[in-house]
Amino acid sequence: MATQTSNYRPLVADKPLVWLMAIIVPFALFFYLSHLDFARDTAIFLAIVSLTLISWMFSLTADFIPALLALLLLLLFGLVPSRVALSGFSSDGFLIAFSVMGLGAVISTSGLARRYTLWLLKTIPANTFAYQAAVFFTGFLLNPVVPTITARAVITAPILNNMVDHLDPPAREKSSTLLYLSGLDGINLLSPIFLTAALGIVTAPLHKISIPLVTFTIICFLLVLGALDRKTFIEKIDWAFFFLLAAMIGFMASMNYMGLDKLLVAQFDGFKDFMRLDFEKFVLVLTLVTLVVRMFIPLNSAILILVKLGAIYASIPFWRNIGVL
Amino acid sequence: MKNHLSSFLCLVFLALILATAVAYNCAKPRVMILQSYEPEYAWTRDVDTGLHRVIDRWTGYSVTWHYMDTKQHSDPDWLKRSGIIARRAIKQTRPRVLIAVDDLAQSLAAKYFVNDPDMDIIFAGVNGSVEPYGYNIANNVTGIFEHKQLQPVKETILALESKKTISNSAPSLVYILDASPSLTRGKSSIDSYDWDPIVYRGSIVAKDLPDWKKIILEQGNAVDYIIVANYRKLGSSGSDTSYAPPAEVMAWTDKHSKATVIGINSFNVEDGAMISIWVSPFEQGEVAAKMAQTILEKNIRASAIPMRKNNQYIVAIREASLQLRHMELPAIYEAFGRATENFIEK
Repeated sequence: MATQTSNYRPLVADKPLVWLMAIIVPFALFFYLSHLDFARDTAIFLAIVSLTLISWMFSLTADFIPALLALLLLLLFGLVPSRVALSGFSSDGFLIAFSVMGLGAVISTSGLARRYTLWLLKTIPANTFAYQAAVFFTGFLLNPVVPTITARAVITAPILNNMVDHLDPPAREKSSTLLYLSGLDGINLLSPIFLTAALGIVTAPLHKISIPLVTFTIICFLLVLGALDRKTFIEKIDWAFFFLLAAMIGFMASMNYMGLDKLLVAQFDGFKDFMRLDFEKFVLVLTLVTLVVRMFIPLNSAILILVKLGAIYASIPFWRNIGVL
Repeated sequence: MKNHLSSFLCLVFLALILATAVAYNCAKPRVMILQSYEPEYAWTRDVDTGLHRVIDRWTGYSVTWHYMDTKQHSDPDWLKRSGIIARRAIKQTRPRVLIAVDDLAQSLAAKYFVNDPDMDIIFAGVNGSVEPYGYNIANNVTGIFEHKQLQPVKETILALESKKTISNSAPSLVYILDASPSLTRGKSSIDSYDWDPIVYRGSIVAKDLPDWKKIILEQGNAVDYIIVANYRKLGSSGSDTSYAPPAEVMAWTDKHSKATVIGINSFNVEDGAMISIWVSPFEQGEVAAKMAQTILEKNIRASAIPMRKNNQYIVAIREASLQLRHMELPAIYEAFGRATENFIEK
């Protein structure tokens, strides 16, 4: 009996106040915006956005669910055609992310990670600094080929764990924190340099096949060769992230389709002078905004939103004129 | 206890989403598009394209489509049945606006809803007058006519003549047609058009395929140009009730006629004619859809929007036929044909 009680997990988040907010705020916002003579479609869209933000900020559900619900609502209320809302599922980014995550799963389950760890331990000097450097550069080398931090962590973690396991207890106690920090830095710090960190940019001029298809080919061939069984395929790939990615791409495409991206840019038109006159301060403000956003919105969702907002602003010629892009 | 409350609120949340979505979709004004023919028929397909150019941007309206399929099946029983089915569909859908395309949609279905207090009718593709349908005295009808674009046909004939080594300043012309109702209704507008300086010799209705061939051979020797519109209702012979394949009819006509044959329908060049100039089906669809949008946005009755004539036309050219007859057209015709993907080189 005690065991059964301790294993109990509620079906829905135990946050009645947040559920109440999720019910009241979108409707209140819709009626308020309608009262301010906003176009009906815009008011509905912003109500959907408010619902999504509430769900993320208060972790009402897993992070991919509000994005999927937002897509559903866009379609139920007919704000955009289904080919726009569901465009994320056929996008190049989705295909690349799926293929490379599959590759990451193959690397981590095939024993390759363990062989690599053993080779490292055999080759590098037996001291903490060398181990730190090895873990850091392993993560660093993954940046150009693995698009998401989750996938890089999936690949790096077994290497790191294997390495830590091979240390004797006193060394493990002293060095494990440093090693984990090095791993975190390796998979994290240099990812902006590689932007989407997509695979195959170097080889594309040789074979003339688009990058998404290259990555898709690789994972399909590996699957045909039995690199992943069905159970591993399901367990090792972050499917929740894929649905989040596809839903967010579709949501942003919907925003573009409705012309709301232009509306957003127009609202922040005043920033132009600020950026031109004091770019350093602007970067600080941007950093602050990113930190604040990250406090409320889950990591993957925040990345997708901020990248898209950046892309919207990047389309303004002004950015190119002042030499930012 | 707290979790029971959360579960309850979650269910309320989901129920509210569902209820709101259902209420919203049920309350959306409905637009029904009633096409006389089948969606694969070239004219209908292109009218649908024109409709989609406007409708695809709509978000607050619900659109349904109904095809009566009366080009492939035109026996009286089918027409009667398709009319009953169409009227039933309209009554079940109860659209706020009904867009009815081509004459059969008007005569078999739309005209029964004249002066309906809750529904407005927009006609498109009507060849002759709207008086037979009672539209001229209705308070809920407007639309766009489909009258053959004869000025560009006249200009094309004169342009062809101007490019000849020895041109004829007053070429002669005859109009040959089959006995289909839409052509018979529209014949008078072609007969009464001011063709000057072209000498118009009148129109001849062919009973069946043998009659058509005889007329083509006779008139080919008598006139400089023959215009044709449709030939889909030509019985193969006296005893055979099936219709002759239109592509075969047109190919034979273009090959055996001594006079130059010009089509005034969308599919004539596809069937084998040298050139055709026809009413823009895209304009028909676009204008009808825009009228519907105006009615819905301004919440007015259709009669507040004047009925209008069609203005636009499309040109299609089969280059090989032009070359076979040693004929030329000004370069702008080819440019227009290519721009609208209606220039066939073979």
